[in-house]
Amino acid sequence: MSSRIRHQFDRELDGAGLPFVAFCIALNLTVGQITAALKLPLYLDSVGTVLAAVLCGPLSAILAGALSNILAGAFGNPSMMFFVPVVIVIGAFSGYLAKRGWFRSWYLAAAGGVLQGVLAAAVSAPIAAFLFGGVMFAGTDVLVLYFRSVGNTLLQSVFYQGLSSDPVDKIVTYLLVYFICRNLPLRLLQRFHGGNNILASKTAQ
Amino acid sequence: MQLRVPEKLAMTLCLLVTSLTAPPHLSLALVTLMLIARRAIPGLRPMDNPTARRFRTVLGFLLGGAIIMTFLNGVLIREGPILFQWAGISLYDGGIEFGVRTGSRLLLMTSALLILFGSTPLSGITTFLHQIGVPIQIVMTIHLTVHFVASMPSRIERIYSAQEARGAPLRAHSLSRMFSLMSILSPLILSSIVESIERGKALELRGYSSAPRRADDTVPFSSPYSILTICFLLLSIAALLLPWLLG
Repeated sequence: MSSRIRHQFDRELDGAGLPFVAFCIALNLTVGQITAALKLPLYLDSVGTVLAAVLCGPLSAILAGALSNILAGAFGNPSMMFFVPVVIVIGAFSGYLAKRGWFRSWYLAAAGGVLQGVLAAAVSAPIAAFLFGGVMFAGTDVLVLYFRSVGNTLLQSVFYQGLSSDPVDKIVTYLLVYFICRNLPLRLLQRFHGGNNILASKTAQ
Repeated sequence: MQLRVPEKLAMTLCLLVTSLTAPPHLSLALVTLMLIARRAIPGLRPMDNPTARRFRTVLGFLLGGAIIMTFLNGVLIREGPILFQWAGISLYDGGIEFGVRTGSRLLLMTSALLILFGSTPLSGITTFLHQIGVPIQIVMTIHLTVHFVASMPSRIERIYSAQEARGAPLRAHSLSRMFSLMSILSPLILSSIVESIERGKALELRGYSSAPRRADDTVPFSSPYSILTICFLLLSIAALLLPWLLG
């Protein structure tokens, strides 16, 4: 690790940062319990990653995303481990957007969610297609089969399936993180390295 | 036969690489071999009963899913000759072959990872990671995550019940339920931030800092490169190169 990245990593995980990133990973792993209880057809499995990106920074988000997928393997969902590149992209991209102030207004956050959804679909499609043949043992597999049966290639079918579900999921994720961070008290935001990503809009109110 | 963590990791890597390059019959043979090894080799046995149960459940679910997906592929992907026809439903050879190939690959990947995580405590893996020089922050994050994951379901349940008692529309139409997400996630995240701040303070008071480690902070190192580890690593390279060399 180069010294600049190491220094940035240390700053992001200082104080409350490290336990909070651990919580974000746990949130990624258990948020399915909430969506199942509310009977919502959403994954929201990157809500912790985006939260870490906004409150801590991009490197923390990459760590949160990567460890979420690796630990998902340990907790009984091994195929998630192969999607680590996707969550690295999600973490880096949401960290970049947070730094550029995209979480200071709801419409920018929603637009970020759309971009993130398209990016996630593009990065995950080759992995899902070439490693798993588009079969992830989820309800969305039927969509992949449908797109294939109408004459698309495997990669196209997986990408279209991703496009049909990922942007909506990521818009909801981004808006949730936006509203949650916006409602956090200033004294709590100041404890985090990435608090400035939200603070400017709060202090302007 | 006791297997150490580096040997198990090398074995898992070897199986993962093989699953990507091997033909379906070899993958299925390896899955069978892994299931026998899981019973025969003490180092690969599950740590406890819940882990063994989870292994059976996940593998059973995957096996069922693989059969269903192979059938659906055979029906919907109309490539190659028709193998079977009944009541207007045709099964195509190309679709079945594709389904068997992806199903066997997924079964091998999953059983390899499940056996690794089922037979190795997470603390053993983190100690090994610490030994080979993975930053202490990452090792500590894994430890803290395990703590949070264990307490999270009960926390979510408490918040859910409390919000339901306050009249939150948790069982209304889908848009209201979507808004109810906020009423559950907000207190969960707020309480976790407060806990994170307290834990951060406690870590600092106990001497944790993100500054570079001193040499005497490291765990005594025993070389991970046993003969078995090297054999598995060589097999991984062979599994990767052989299909390419054989064209």
